[in-house]
Formats: sequence, structure tokens, C-alpha cells
Amino acid sequence: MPDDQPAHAAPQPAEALQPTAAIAAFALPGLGHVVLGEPKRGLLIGVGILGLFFGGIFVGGIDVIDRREDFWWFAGQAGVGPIAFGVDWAHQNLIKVEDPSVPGGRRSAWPDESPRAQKSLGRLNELGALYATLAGLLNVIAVIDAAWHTPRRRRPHGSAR
Amino acid sequence: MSPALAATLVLAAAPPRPAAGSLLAWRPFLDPLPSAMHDYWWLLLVPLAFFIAWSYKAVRLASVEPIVTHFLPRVFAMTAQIILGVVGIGLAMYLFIEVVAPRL
Repeated sequence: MPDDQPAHAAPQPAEALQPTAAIAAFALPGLGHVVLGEPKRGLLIGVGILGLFFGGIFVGGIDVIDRREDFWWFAGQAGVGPIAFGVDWAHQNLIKVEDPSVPGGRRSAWPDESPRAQKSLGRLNELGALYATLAGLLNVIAVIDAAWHTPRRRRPHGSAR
Repeated sequence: MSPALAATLVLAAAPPRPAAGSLLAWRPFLDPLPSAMHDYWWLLLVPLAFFIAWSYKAVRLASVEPIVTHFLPRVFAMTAQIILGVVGIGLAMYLFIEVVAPRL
């Protein structure tokens, strides 16, 4: 069937579970669709989700990714996959300092301590966390789309979907 | 030498550091945006809406090609819808709190 035929011209192909694509999509945003043979779509998904995630870190600093202090924000951010866990690891182990008052605890450094760290506060903290959390939630949609994938049929260019 | 005096001398000997919040002190991706941006935080809604629209349309559209004439126009349209929706909700909340609620 030619690529530009309307979707209703033929029955939709059956949805099939694609575990490899789902794992790939969680490992790196957009990779699931690349595995499924849609490299341009995968690239666009990756650019959008990683742009949102790193945009959040750009706005609010690395402080917006904090599994210990902002657990519920991080629950959403974790949807981005290993990248979110890697950024959190770097924040906990390379940016924060040991907290002697809590056994095994770590805290943000004071302004005169090293490594120097600037705490993110106010609107910029909220917006940075929101950016990164929405990136995680959007990647969950991309993972689901890759996991239960129906190959798209190209529609005429006037239609929105 | 007292510990307080020693600490003072150590701090005095340290190289000067740009004031926190200035552009010179800012380290992108480690520090939050400079404090001057606090007054314009609402502008950050635009890239937020754009990236949401980009990611959503990349998943949702039946075809993303051609990117310039098919994908991007729909991304810009959805960006505008999100911004107008947020502004509309903000306006409605403002009217409710400032006009309607005091009369209840």
C-alpha cells in the first residue's frame, strides 16, 4: 500500500508488545522508536525529552534533581531513565558534602565550603523541577508507545494526526 | 592563634570570588539561572510549552515528515494552545479571587 493512503483504506495492523523497544526507550529517550525502525521519530522524541530535562537543570541548577530531598519530584524525573539516576548520583556524591550530624548523611554545601554549590530556590527551583519532571512523564508516554507499538500509516499532509 | 582568627586569615587569603548571583559566578547546569531571572520567571513558560508540544507531537503524529512543513507547524500550534490555556486559567483564577470571591 502506498505511504500516502488514508489510514481507513486498510485495517490497522495488530498492536504487539515490543519488550526490546520498551527497554531501549527507557534506557535512552527516543531509542525505542529507533529500534522499531522509526529513526527520525526517535530523534525528535530524544531531542524533546532531553531538551526538557536538561532545560530544567539549566533553569534550576543540578539541585532540582535530588532523590533524597525532593523524592516526589524525582519519582517523575526517574521516567527519563538512567540519565536521571546518573545526574542524581553526581549531585549526591560530587556536589553535596558529608553531614557529620547524620550518620552516612549528605547535605548541600554552605557557600564557603568546597565543592561550592548554590542552592536552587523560589520560582526557578519550582520551574526547573517541573521541566525535568514533565520530561520524565513524557518519556513514560514514549516508552508505552514503543512497548505497545502500532506502525503508523502516513496520512495526507492536511490532517493533524 | 585562636581558631576564629585562623579561619579569618584563611578566608582573607583565598582568591576573590565573584558575588553569588552575578553572571561571573554562574556555572550553567550546576547553579540556577542568575537571580536577575527571578523577575522574568514567567517567560520560562514559553520553552516549557514548546518542549512539551515537541515531545507530544513526536509521539502522537501519524507522520513526523516532512519536519519543517508538517511537524513544526503542529508543534507551534500546540505551543500556542498551551500558553493561551495557562494564561486563560491564570486570568480566570485572578478574576475569581479578586472579583467573585470577595462578593460571596
